[in-house]
Amino acid sequence: MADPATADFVSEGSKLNSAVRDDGYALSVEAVTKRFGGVVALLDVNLRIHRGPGISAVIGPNGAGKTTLFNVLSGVIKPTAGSVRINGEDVTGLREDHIFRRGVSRTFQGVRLFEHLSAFKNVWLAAGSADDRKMKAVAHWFTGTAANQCAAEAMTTVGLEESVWSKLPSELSLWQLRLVEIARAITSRPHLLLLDEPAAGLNTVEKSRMCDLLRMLSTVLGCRIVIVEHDMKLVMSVADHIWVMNFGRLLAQGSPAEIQNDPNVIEAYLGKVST
Amino acid sequence: MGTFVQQCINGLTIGCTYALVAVGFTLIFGVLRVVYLSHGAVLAASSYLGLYALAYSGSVLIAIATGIIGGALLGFIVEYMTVRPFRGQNHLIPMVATASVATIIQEVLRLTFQGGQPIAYPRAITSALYEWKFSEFRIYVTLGQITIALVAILLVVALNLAVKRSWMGRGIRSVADSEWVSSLLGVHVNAISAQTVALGSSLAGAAGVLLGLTVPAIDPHFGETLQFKALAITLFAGLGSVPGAVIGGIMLGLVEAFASGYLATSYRDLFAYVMMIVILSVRPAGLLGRQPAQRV
Amino acid sequence: MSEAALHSFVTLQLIFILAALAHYLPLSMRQLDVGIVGYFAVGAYVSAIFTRDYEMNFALALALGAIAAGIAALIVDSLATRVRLSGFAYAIFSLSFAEALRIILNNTSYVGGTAGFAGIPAETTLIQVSLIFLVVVFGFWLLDRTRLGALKTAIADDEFIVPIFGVPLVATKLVIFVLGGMLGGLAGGLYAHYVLYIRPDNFGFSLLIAIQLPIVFGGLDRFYGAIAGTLILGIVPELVRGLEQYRLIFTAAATVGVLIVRPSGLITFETISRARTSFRKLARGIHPNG
Repeated sequence: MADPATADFVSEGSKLNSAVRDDGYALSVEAVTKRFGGVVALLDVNLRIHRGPGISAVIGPNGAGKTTLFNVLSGVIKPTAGSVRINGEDVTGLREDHIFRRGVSRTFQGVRLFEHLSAFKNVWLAAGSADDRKMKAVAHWFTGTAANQCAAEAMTTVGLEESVWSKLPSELSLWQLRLVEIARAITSRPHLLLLDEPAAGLNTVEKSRMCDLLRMLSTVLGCRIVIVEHDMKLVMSVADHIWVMNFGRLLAQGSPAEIQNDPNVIEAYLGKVST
Repeated sequence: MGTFVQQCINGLTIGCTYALVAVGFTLIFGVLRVVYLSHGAVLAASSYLGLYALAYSGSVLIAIATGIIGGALLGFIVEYMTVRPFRGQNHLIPMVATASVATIIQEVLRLTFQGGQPIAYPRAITSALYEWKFSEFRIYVTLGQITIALVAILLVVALNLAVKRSWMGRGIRSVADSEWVSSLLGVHVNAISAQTVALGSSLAGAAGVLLGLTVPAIDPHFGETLQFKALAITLFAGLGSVPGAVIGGIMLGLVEAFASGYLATSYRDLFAYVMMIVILSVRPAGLLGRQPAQRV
Repeated sequence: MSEAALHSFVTLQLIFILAALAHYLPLSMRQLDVGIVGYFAVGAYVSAIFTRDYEMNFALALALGAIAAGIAALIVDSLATRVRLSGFAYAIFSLSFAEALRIILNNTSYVGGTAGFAGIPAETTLIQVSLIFLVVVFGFWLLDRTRLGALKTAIADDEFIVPIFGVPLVATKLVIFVLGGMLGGLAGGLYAHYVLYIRPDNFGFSLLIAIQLPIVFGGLDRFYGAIAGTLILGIVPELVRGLEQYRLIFTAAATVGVLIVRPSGLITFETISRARTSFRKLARGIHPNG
C-alpha cells in the first residue's frame, strides 16, 4: 500500500506554516472559515493531502461542518476567509464546474440522482465534462458520443451489471443507487473523490462490499478518496488517515490508531474522562 | 404652476385607485404566498355588477356596495377553486390556475355583455360626477375624482383597522407570519385563506366600480393592466405591506400623471413595466426574490 | 367545415404548436420564461418588415426574424439568470419585457402603431408549415437523445448539482432559452405572413394564455405533451357543435381541471414508460413463443 498521506498538523489559528505554496499537495486548505450570518460553520480549518492514492475520512458529530467542508472543496460555497489550492493552484471561490475540471468530484448526503434520467444517462452526463476545450465542448453538448465509453467504463468499474443501466433511479435498490452515484463521480477520472456518507443505509454485507470497492477504486484510479462517515468501524477499517472535526474546527488528525487514543477526540465524543 | 398642481391632482386620484387595487393584491399575495392572477378579472366582473346595480337603483352608493360584496363573493369562489387545492405546490401551478380562472371570468363577461364591446356606466349619473367641478385657480377637480379619493381612503383605512384590530385580522396576521405555526396553533388556515381573498377582492370590487364611474367605458379585460400594476407596486413596496401599497400606488399614479402630462400619454403603462424590470434586477423582494441558496 | 376554412385552421394550428414547443423549452426546465409572446412578436414584425419594405426573400426574412427573437431571449434571460431570479419573479420579469415591447410597438409609427402592420406579403403555405413542423418535431426527438436534452431534464430535476459535474449551468440554460426564442420567432414570422395583418395587441395576455395553458394541460415532462395539449384543446372545440365560441373557456376550464386532478398534465414521464411497458407486454403476448 502506498505511503499513507501524512498531512501536516497545523494547530488552529496561531501557527500558520507559510512555507506551503506550490506544494506538491493534491489539496491544501488554509485557514478556511465559513460563516452563514451568525453561524460559524467552519473555523480556521487547515488540512493538506499529498498526491497519490489512499483513503481519508472526515469524522465528527452532526453539525461539525463536514458537509460544509465538502461544499467548500467542491466549489458550491465560497469560504468567508482562507484559501483552497488544488495542485498548488489557488481555486478559492472558483465556480463548481471549474473545480470539477480540476479533478474534484463528489457525491452527496442522501441519494441525489437525476430522477428522470436512466442510471446510464446520470453517469453519462458527468462524463467528458473534464475536457475544457471550447469547440469540443460545444459538439459534446449535442452528441456526447465520447462520453459513452467513459460512462460504460465507470459503471463496469463499480460493478453495475448492464441490465440495470437503462433503469430509472426509482427502480433501483439503495445499493445500486450508491453505485450509480459513485460511477457518476468517477467517470471524469478525478484525483480527489469526495464521498458524503457513502455507506449510509447499507446493511453489514453491503458495507463490507463498499469498503472493498473504495479500496479498489483508490488503487485503480490512483485517486485520493475522502469520505464523511458516521460508522466508526467502517472508518477505522478503510481509512489510512482521519480528520476529526467538531464545531467547525479541525480537532485532530492522524492514523486510525492515533485518533483512537487522542484525548481531544475522546473528549469530543464521550465527554471529559474523569480521573 | 397650474399644470403642475393639476397633474398632482390627477395623479393622486389615479394613485388612490391604484392603491386600492394594490392593497387588496398585496394582502392576498403577501398573506397566502400564492401567485394570484385573478385579481384583475374579479375587478372587472365587479365593475359590471356595479354597472347594473347603478342602472337599477340609480344610487352610486349601492353600486359601490354591490361592487364590494360582489367582489368578495367572487374572490371567495376563486379561492375555493384555485388557491386552496394548490397550496404549497411549485409556482407555475397556482399561476396557471388563477390565470385560467381569470380567463374564464373574462370570457363569461364577454359572452354575457355585448360580446366584449366597451360598455359605459349610465351616463345620466356619471355625468354628474364629471360635470360638477371645482374650478378655481385654473384647477379642475371633478366630483368623480373626489369620490374616488374619499372612498379609496375610507376603504383602505377600514381594511387596515380590520386587519389590525379584528379577530379575523388576527388570524390573517398569524397566517401571514407563519402558515405552519398557525395551523399548529389551531388556526383554520383554509378559512383564513378564504377570508383574506374575500377581503382583498372586496377592495378590488370597489375599485372596479369606482373606475367604472370615472372612465369612459369598461370592458372585460380592463383589469389586466391594473393587476400588473398592482403587482409592480407590491414588488416595490414589499409583500403584504399595506402602507407600502398605498404609498406605492399613489407614487405610481403621480409618476404616470406627470409623465403623460409632459411626455406622451400613450407610454403611460410603460412605467409600471420598466419599474418592474428595474426592481427585479436590483432588489427583488421576498417571495418574488432570488433563488434561495440550496444546501447540497 | 369548408376546405378553405380547414386549410386555414390546420395551418394556424401548426403554427401555434410551433409556438407552444418554443414555450415548452424553458418551461420544461422549470424556468418560467414567459416572454414567448414577445419573441413571437419580434419574429412577426422583423420578418414582415424585411419582406414588405425590403422585398427580401421569405426564407431569409424568416431566419432574420428568428435570430432577432433569439437575441431578445438572450438579453432577457441573461439578465434574469445573472440576477438569479426565483420562479415567479422570472415570469414577471420576462412578461414585463414582452409587455413593454408591445407598448413600444403600439407607439412606433413606422410599424403602424396601434393601427397595425398591414400589407404583409402572403408567403406562408400549409406545405411549408407542415415541413417545418416535421423538421422541428424531429429536432425535439433528437434533442431528447443528445446531451443537451439530458442536461435539460437534469436541470429540471435538480438544477443545483448540475454544475458540480462540470456543466456550465448558465451557458446551457441560455442555449435552451435562445432555442426557444428562435423557434418562437420563427412561428411568429410564419404567422405574420399568413394572417397578413398584425397589431401589437395581438401579442398580449390573450396570446400568452392561448399558448401556455395547452402545454400545461398536455404536460411539461415531454415535448409531445405540449403538442398533444395544443392539438386537443385546439381541435375539440371545433368538433363539438356549439363549442367554438366557448373555446377559451373550454381551454381554461380543461386546464384547471387537469391541474386539480393530475397536476403534471396529461402526458407525464410515467405515461410514456407505462405505455412502453404495456406495449412490450402486448407485443410479447402476440409472439408465437408466448
